[in-house]
Amino acid sequence: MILAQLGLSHHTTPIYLRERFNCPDSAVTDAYHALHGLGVNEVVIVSTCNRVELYACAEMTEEVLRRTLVRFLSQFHHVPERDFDQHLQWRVDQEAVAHLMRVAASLDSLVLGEAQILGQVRNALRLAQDRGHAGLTLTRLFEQALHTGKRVQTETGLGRGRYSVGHAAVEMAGRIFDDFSKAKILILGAGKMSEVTARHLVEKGVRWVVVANRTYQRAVDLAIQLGGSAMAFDDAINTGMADADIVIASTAAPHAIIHRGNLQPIMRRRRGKPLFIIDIAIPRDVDPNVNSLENVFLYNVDDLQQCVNDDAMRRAGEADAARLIAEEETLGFLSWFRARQATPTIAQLKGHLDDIKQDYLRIFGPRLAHLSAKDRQTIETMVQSMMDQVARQPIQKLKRDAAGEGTVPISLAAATLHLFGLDGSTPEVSATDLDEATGVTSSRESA
Amino acid sequence: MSGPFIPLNILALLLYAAAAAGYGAGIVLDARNAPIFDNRLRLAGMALPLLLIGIGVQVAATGSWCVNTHLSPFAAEYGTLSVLAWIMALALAAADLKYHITAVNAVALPVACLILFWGLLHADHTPDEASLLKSQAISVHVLCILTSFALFALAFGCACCYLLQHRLLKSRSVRPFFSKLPPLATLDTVAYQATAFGLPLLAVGIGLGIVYMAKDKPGLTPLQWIFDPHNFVAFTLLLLYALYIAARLFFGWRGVRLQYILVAGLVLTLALYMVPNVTHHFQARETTVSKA
Repeated sequence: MILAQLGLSHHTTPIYLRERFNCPDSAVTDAYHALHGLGVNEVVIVSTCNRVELYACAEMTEEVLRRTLVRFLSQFHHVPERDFDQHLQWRVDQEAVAHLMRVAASLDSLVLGEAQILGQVRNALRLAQDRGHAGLTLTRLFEQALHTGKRVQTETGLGRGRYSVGHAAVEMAGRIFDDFSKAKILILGAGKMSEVTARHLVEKGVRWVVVANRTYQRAVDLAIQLGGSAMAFDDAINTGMADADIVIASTAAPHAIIHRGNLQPIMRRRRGKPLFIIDIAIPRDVDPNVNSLENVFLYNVDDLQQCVNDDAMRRAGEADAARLIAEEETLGFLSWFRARQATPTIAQLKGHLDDIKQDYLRIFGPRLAHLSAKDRQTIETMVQSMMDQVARQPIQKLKRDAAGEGTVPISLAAATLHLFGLDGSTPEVSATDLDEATGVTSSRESA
Repeated sequence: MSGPFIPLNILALLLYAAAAAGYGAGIVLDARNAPIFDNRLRLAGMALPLLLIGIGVQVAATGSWCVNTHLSPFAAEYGTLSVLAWIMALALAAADLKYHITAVNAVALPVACLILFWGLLHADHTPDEASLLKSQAISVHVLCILTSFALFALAFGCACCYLLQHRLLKSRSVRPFFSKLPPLATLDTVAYQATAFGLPLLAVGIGLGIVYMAKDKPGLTPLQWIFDPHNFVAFTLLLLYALYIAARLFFGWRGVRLQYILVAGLVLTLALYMVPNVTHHFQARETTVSKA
């Protein structure tokens, strides 16, 4: 059984590509449906604005599993493999587990200690469970990850005073505007990032929100969610920006849509009223030269990230503590997971010993017929205890070996199967063998 | 001259200086991410009580001056500057209480300290005992002018903070004291309100000055009066702040350029004090100094 993780995250993948793999809750059913029949035993999809990751558990080789999952991503999201293959992150076994623990601990987030990720991990597990794609292994893995996240929140200061790009944007806006209820936001591009950033500002009291998007209906949808109104994209550029105080640009445009040339006349109309532009699009929507215009304050993701990093540095010690928790929980899960790998061998061994016991009881049953039921029960219990005693040490060693705590350089599971003839190399115990083992034949012969 | 007013004003100066230091240190040391100080110690929080005590002490100092000399504080340069520092401190304390703009006080309160210090350096000068100065009417003229100066100093502090905040925002630099600077909008509002109150007071003060001048020096032509450097600067100052108010109020202008006007305004205010003063003298210098 292989446990693996395949994904695209903010570390390696530009936002414009990540957005193409976005898998909202409404599309999850279709995604799981598409995964059905691919031979993957268990799978959980984690889709956030910073990552799209598949956690899978399957009885296939590493290469086949990777190919299967990559093909699924490509076909389901209609993105050619060559477009994203170089950005993919592939992790197996311990690395995959450690990664999920880091994700849940928000150590892998764009912002250390951000709170949303734990809810997103929980939601991902719930959706997979609802659709029957999260079995024992992934359920246990994700529950351990959630436990990790909770421990990080309660045992470290990483979660206290959480800080995100959205928070950074609000803080920067707070350096310019003192009353958010009077501030006007214009959102260019109804993406997830702009929604999150705008939501932060709306929570701080912004009431006037206008959303503009190339696809008008998406603008309307987001405007409804934010309690604002929608505007045609071209109107927003030409007239909306003259009224707005804060512009959140997050379109998928391949080049800058706002530059000095088209902003200068707008700024003249604004008569020096400050304009705060948050450019969270990649590639950037706003020409960096715009910042040189008077009373324009342009911040892109990297600038906001600087504020975030500043905060993160302050909490670097907390991140170390969180990292230790994640490592501890990783080992905890791996111990369980690997021990679970020995379960079939242990079950086979126990079954084998039980068969031997039953055979002996069957053979010796008639000879013990003269004994009372209580005595027969005592003998049966004694035999069972002997069997358990014999099996106890090997089972413990098998579990330790599977969990990676073994000291011998061979697979004890394979050795056990071979030694006890459980791999099919030795025939079943026959009555003759039993007679030989018990010395019945020799006594017959001597008679 | 002797009396309790000098030691009291020295004490007030020390309190103002301590408050200014507290405000200044509070910007850097109380700020989020400040590397050296424990945030539990709120220096800016300590500054306001010091400032308020200083204001109280100055009230006592000015009162004791009036009791000892039987003169208006405006009869001497020392008293005038002392009252100016007091009004400035009062305006800054009020602004801090209402808007929590500690950073502005860090900039503007040292100006009040300098004025009070300058006044103390001239504490041994002889008070004018001109009849006009004995009148309560001239006090209104001086008080209006001084109050407008204090408000312009507050506007200047706001403008300086605005320019600094603007620069930091432009450079995307997150310094430790960055978060302690008030938002641009607040600075803009306070500066506007201070100027909006200061300008009419300045206009009234100048108007009363013209009236008194006409009474005091009936032979003076308007041309002579206007070309007195002191009066010329005063009018320029009035026009400068009027320009600011007009741009802000009638044309809806905002932003960094208006702040430069406010900075220039305070420079002009200081120049007003420095430039030679030809017509602005009171007649009928009476006998000698009243000894306290």
